[in-house]
Amino acid sequence: MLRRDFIKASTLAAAGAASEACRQPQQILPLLAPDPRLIPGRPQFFASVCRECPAGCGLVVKVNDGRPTKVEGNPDHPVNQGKLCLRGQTSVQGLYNPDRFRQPMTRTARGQLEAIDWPQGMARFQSAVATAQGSIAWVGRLETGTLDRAIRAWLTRHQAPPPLYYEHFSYDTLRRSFQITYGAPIVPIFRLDRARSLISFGADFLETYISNVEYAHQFSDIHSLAHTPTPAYFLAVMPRVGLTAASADEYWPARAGTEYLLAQALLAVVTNRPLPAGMEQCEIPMDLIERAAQRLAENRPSLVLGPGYGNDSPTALACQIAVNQLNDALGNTGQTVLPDVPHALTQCATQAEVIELFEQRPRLLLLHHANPLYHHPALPLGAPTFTVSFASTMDETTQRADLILPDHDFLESWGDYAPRADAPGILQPTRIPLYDTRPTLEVLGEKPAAYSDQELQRGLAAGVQSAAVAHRAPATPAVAPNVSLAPLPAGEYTLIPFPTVQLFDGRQANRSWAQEIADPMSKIAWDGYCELHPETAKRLGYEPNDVVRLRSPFGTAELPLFVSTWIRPDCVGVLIGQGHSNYGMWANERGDNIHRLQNPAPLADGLWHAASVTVKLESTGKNRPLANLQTERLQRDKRLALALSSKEPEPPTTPAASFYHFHHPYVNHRWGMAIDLDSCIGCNACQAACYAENNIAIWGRSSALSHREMTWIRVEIFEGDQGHPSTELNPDLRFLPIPCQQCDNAPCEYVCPTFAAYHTDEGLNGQVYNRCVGTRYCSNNCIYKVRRFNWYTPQWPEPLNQQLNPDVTVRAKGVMEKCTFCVQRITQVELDAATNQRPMRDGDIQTACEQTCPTNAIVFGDLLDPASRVARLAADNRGYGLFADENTYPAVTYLKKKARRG
Amino acid sequence: MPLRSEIEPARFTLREVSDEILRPVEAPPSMRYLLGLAFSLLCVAIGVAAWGRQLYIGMGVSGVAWPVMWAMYITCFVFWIGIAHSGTLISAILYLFRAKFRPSFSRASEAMTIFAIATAGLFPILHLGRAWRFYWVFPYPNERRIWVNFRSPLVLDIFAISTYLTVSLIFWYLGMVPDFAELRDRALGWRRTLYGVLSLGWVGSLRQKAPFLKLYILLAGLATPLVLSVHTMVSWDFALSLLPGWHEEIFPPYFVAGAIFSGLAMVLTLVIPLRHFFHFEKHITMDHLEALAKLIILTSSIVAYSYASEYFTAWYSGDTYERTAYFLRAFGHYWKPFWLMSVCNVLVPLLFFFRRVRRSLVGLLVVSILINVGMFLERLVIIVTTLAYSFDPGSWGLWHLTWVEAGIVIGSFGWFMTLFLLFVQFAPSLPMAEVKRDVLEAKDMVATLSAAHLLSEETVHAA
Repeated sequence: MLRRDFIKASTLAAAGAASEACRQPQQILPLLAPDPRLIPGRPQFFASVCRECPAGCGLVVKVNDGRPTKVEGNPDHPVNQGKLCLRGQTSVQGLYNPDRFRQPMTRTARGQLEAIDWPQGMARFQSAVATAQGSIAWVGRLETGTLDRAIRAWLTRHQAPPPLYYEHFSYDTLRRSFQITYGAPIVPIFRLDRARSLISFGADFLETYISNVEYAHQFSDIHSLAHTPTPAYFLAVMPRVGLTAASADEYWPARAGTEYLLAQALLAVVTNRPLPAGMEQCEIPMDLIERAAQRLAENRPSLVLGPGYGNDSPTALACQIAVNQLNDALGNTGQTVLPDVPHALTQCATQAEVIELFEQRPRLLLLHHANPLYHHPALPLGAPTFTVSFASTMDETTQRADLILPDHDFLESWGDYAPRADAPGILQPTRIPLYDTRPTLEVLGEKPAAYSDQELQRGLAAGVQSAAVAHRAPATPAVAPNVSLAPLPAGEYTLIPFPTVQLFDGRQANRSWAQEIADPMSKIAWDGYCELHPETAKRLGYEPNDVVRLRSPFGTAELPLFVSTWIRPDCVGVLIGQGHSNYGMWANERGDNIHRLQNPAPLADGLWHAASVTVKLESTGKNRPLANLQTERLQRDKRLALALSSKEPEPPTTPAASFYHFHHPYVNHRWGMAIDLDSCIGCNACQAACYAENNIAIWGRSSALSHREMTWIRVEIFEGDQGHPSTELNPDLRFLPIPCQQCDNAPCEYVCPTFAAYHTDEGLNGQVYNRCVGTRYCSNNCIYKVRRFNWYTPQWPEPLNQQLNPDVTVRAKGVMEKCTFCVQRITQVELDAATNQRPMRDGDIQTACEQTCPTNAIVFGDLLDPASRVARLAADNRGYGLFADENTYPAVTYLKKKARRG
Repeated sequence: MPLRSEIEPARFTLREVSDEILRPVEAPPSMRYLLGLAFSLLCVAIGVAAWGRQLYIGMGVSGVAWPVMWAMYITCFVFWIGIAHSGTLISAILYLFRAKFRPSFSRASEAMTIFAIATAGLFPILHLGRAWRFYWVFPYPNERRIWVNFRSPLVLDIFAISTYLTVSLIFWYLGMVPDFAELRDRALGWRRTLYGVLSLGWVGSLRQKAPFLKLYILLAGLATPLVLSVHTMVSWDFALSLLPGWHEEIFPPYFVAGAIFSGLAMVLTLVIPLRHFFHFEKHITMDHLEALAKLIILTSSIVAYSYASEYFTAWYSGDTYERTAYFLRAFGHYWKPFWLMSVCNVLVPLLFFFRRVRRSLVGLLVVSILINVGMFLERLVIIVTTLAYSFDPGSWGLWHLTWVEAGIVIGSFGWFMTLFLLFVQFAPSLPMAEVKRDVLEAKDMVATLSAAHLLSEETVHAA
């Protein structure tokens, strides 16, 4: 090669290399005068309100370099007091949902959706409004405050009826009963924290009922030994044990639909009146009823909650009325039941109203984050109705829309939401909108009355305003309606559609965390399923994972079978929230939509009931394996999740003196954790927070099927223990969250050939991802099996990668990872303390799981500091180490559950 | 009176010995041989493709999954290391004990050792999550000044295996030097050059022979403790862990006995076809094979004792984790491999108590293959059931074989067979020099004895 040629070739190569660098033009706007609050590398925090469900918990959104990466509860918010549930944690995945609409879309003549720009979209919207001539219906997510006012003003201006706020969990029965009992059709505020005894006739207040984080928090205040020396007694009466009933001291598996008889019987015993007729249908012995009534009367104030979604049977109204009367008779009105303080849910449309609206076929239907066709698949929609959807993503209703004008995600929006009058919260945008979306308020073009500057500033800083609420006196109770229960037809089973803490009414189904984190009870991830009692399954010849066809008078659904002892043999449970047909990459193809089975019409009482049908079961001969992440639910004699002895107090369990006694010399800190099994309700919020904080990979259903889930803190469920197996009346279900135990004498460390697993001088079992070659010996030798291996290259479909926490390494294929006690948070607080030259205080460091735990079951701190909470808990009488006799000296102390009662 | 085996070689002339042993090397490869080689290479190709897929996509394509983080690969590793054991046992220990049946197997079993180690050595690398970083487990000076963790049994493994490989390789090669020299003397062209280099200038003079024999016996002495040490260290991979089912004192002797047991079976599996196809019946006699069968009875009984001891200890300890682990090993999800393993390793070798089975080629071959299957399953059962049923029942989970894993296992057998087939084509499969020495010794003995009229007419005539 000549020198000239060489230079030519190398110039070309250099130019090619240089041009590679400018392949993706990036907009970089330098700040001429930098914002003093913006410190590169440090996150910013914005207060906002969670809109994942109507509970309206306060949020603090962590924003790294303009990207919201994690949400946490706002400690100043009266509803959630700094805590958040699994669904709230997934809200960042809603923002970065890969299936979000990028721009407005319209339906072409051929029926396909076509992208348009906003001027075109607005023009179509205006012309649709003009041609509708007042036949306009608004079906939208529950809104209060500014947007509510704007929607109402806009509808009035166009001579349209007021909006229908659509929530599938709309508590129609509860509201009707309050109309009858107290004279006002409201969803009230319940105060669990004031109750000294508690009965739930099906209300799943730890999962979805009205305000689950608030209730979980209040429930642990009255029920956990960590927070009260005299725990309240909790009785659950429902046909299936869900997460709520799992925490009950006593459980009555009453026949579905007979709950009203039990409530009336309790009322009769409390008020010394004759028992209702037909008590034998309940299959609950009388002495239990008398004992429960006595407990209620002795432990006042008490609280009785009515039916929930899963047992919203035709007799639910009678039950709820009896419950209201019982509360009133026990003097709970004004104490634990506040019938004069309406929850925002009061403003929702009933299901019957929504059904009626669709049957009227309005000319223009406006959908705002509502998906009624998923819950009511039989509803008519289409010509002559012109449908405009403001949805952020495709869903079962929006897929039939003619025009899509996507709204911002709530994390990109201004707004306000008040779940109740004393908790008005303000939403503020936490990032520049990801896509070409527009807030619906702007589309409507209304300018509602604004807040005063003072209000706004206060509200923005705190994320919540405080407001005084006037209390009213209770109304007089009314008489119970006359209902009766027909016997179950032979070969038919009562359908129990049960909502779960992770999927709610199905709106969180397209969040990979909500899918990957297994259901707390069944431990099944990624699929819808039906649940049968083993006796029933055996009698019908079904094996687990067989696909069963459920046939109701209104439709069929095919679902794989999960066999559980925690459902009545005459019932079949179906998980709701799965079975989406067009809701995104993670939600689709997860079984059939079970709402097809429900009665699409309201019943004679004018209410739509969720659990009003019986179904026949048919074999399909098909099989669909369910990703069951915990198949063994018995402790055998392994001493895992322990409870106090029901006899006299036992001495603290200290590990026996060991010949091989061995301790690392710690100088500054020894990080430790205490987990209170009596507080833990198994809600999995800690798992979701961990996924969000630590960039944990998700590979989907096929990986979950082969146990390749990556969670760093798994919550195991056990049924009683060796000495006290679960009984029907006393499930004694125990939840055991297992993070890395950060052993002092760690089995994982010494087996690693490359020192990737090593011991830090603050007691953590460090893991150097860069140094790991992937022998996986550490995981084999870990007796807690908390280590997770990267089976594939982790992937986050765009734009989900923007959610990644920049303080945590994204692990590569082939390396081991595990819980780090959120070492990035520890380091940050240590550095801050050193920079500001002040000592670290107990509680300065909060791990992600501890931060979000709704019941404060997790406490993190320094074991070397004898005054720290964790050190005191480690020495608690209830404390024990998991597998402590294996000489691992774990840094996690578990606190035993209270002794069984009942 | 001398043993029959001592004077039997007197029948042969040295020329015959050379011709017969070198025939496979000097003759062009047969069609059958080439087909066998092609089949082995096909298996290797399957293995390479499977491993390539695993490297590209990740360990997720193997059946390994939480909590069973080791399965088929480590099973293969231990299996092949076990196979490697009897090679040294036969070559070195039997050499030291002057066992007369030794020469007939020594070369083939040494080769088997080397190739088994070469196969076993692949698995610790290809089971790694990041196989391209495998050299990080070696203690080598590096700019990052990171050393390896000498407490880790995996690092001990590296030393044990590399030492074993080095000593075995030298021992094997040293034994072949005189044979290469003979090949060189008989060959022409490039083969003469090749064997010329390989034979290191061997002319068979006394000056060369004296130090050669000294070195040979020295290496035999060095290799003998390695038979014990290597598998002891391999057993520490398990015994030094905390897991019920792995954490056992009996593991080192149990693994060594098991390794020799499986190695002897593998020698039989390889030598019987070798003897048949290359017509070595004169040199590998039924007596030789029978001697191996007797050794198998001994090692099988040690293995059976170990099985029983494991169960006794688990029960006697009263430890709930041990008891559960051992109960579920026999009656859990993997009960089939467990019981198959028990039958193959404990009951089937008992057939060798019958002389008819011991002296039947079919019997020997079938039993030896069953033992190989049993010993493979033994490692699988120990590894997989222990990991599947450890301390916390909530963390129990199963392993299922995938095509990638099976492909890699097939590839490892193909790799081993390829190496072995190349060996029989390029090097004498019997130690020619030693056979000749035995022939000369036997001739001497016959001459001496017949001069003293101590041998019958027929014997002299036959010799």
